[in-house]
Amino acid sequence: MTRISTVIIGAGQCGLAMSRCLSRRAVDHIVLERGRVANSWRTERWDSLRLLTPNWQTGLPDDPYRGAAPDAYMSMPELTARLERYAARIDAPVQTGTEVLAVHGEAGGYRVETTRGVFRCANVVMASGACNIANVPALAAEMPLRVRSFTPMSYKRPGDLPDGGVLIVGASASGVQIAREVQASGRPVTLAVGEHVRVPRSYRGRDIQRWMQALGLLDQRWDAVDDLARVRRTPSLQLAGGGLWRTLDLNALTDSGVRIAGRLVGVRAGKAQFSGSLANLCAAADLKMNRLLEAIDAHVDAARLAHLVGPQRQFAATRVPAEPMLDLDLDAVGSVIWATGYRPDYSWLHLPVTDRKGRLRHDGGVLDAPGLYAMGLPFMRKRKSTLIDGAGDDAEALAEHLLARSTRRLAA
Amino acid sequence: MISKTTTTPALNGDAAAEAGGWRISALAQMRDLVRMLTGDARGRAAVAMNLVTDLKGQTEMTIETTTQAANNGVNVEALLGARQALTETPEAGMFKWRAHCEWIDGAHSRSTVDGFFGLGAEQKRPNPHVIDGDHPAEFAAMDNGATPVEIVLSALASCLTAGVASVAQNRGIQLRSVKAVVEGDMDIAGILGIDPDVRNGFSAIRVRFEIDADATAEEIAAVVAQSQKRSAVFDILTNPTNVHVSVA
Repeated sequence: MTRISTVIIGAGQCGLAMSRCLSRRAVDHIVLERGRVANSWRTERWDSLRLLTPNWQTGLPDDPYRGAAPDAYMSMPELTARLERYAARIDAPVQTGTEVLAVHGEAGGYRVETTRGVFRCANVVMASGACNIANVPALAAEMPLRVRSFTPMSYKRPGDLPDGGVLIVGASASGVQIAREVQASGRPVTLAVGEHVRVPRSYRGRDIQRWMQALGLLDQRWDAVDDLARVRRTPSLQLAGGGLWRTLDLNALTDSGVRIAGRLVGVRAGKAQFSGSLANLCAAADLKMNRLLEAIDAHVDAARLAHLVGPQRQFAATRVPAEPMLDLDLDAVGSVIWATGYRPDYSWLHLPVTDRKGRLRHDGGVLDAPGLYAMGLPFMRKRKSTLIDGAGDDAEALAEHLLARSTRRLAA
Repeated sequence: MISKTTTTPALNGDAAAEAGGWRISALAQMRDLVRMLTGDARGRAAVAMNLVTDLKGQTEMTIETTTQAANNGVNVEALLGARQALTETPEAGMFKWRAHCEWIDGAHSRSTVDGFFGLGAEQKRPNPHVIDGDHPAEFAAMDNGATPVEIVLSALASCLTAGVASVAQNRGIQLRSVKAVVEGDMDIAGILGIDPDVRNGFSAIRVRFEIDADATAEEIAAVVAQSQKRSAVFDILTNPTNVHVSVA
């Protein structure tokens, strides 16, 4: 049994950022990591994936990006190496190969049971990631047994898929990227498209993330948005990293031969059935994208930047077939990839801090259990909370909260 | 009741087939027609097809339909005739159904169902039908009509019930009463935007028929099954449809 002030669970960008912020405040802590530093980035992503955010957005506390390619996108090995270097640079007290099995509340704090002993602590920071489990809808059970099932966490490369057609369910960042490379591998892809967020990779000569930062969107706070529940569940931007400033949208996929269909709504008599609402979802995504582009134009005008940036332009409306396909014969399908979102895994957390759907109830990462904190969740404290360089601001704020609480406890 | 239909000279082996292929297709149509409206060749309506070759070498097709006296108010013969006519001129079968809806106030709107396109021409009813849609007081509305989802449930019940009457008529089953209770489950957390995991529409629909008829329970079950098989609204609710919404 080890007694320590604070246990951080997870040594990704969030856990390491928090470690740095606690070290600066002389808070005694340990970072427990089930595998190695950046374990999820290392083991739970597909081969070709690059960060959706450019390198300039990979800054960590006391370690901004200083490389030569601020507008490029890191591959997973590059990101993993960057996080390893950071862990070494800040001398983070990481204990690798230590999986947390259970966290219980007890008098004065928490009891953290791991594969390598028990830790007793006043504070726990859950930095174990927002994407531990790939969501798979219940109707997956209706798919023919012959059709092999993958998620973006188990999928690594097109060559691992059986020959034949591939049904990809979900057209957010993961779905569109995987659709592109699977189609290119010669396997005909049908992409089931639900609600999605269309944005161009770049606009007026700058990466969309630059504009989102300029508009103040990335730093928007959780306590300053109208409908927090809605923004927290907004699907990921339909983006791909890599291929500098190349836009990957449904039109690009259609051009490459991918067939787009509506949301997957059922599997019956050997056929996948798609909703007839595809046109509406695409029109809504186009309207939202154009509102963002108008906001960028307004910003350019107000800040008198027009002479510094590229010209305004229109993006073609999403091309939807006149009569979108409503069903797909699964005889021609060898595999299905469920790109239907991710959720965190808190099965080890034995505290009454989740809602009826198992989601953490938290106020900007502060849980309704003294000394318990979360990190890296969608729009946790800011829109950028899930980005690499969103970890720093959140860690600063929560480290400050943690320290103030500890000081109050000592004073009491 | 015994009805006997005798068609004009129809079939004479291969020679007749060459001379008038339409006659062969007419026979096939009649067979399909009988299958369609009876669900299968069995049931109460005994159908006999006799091919009688006359002296000229022509074959006369006789269809003898023996049914019990049943009158459900369905003109089966007209339906049979329509089916035969439409098989020969499929374009006449392309219909466009319409409703015109106008907002009145709040959740209250009124749909008018009047003309439709079908049988190759615009059709107009003598009197339009009017359907009011609204929401009940529990939704802070004026309850000037059924909710749209209740209208959908009613449409399903009406469609299946019309099918029951038609199939029963064709099978010679006299109906005494047909009642249906339709119930749809809905979690309004969907339409209120509370929970994105909850769909807006029904999570399930149940139809319970109470049928009093001159038939065994099995025969009634077969009639109900066949009415689902040929129901437009049942199909609309159980299979996806592309819906195009535009603003003029």
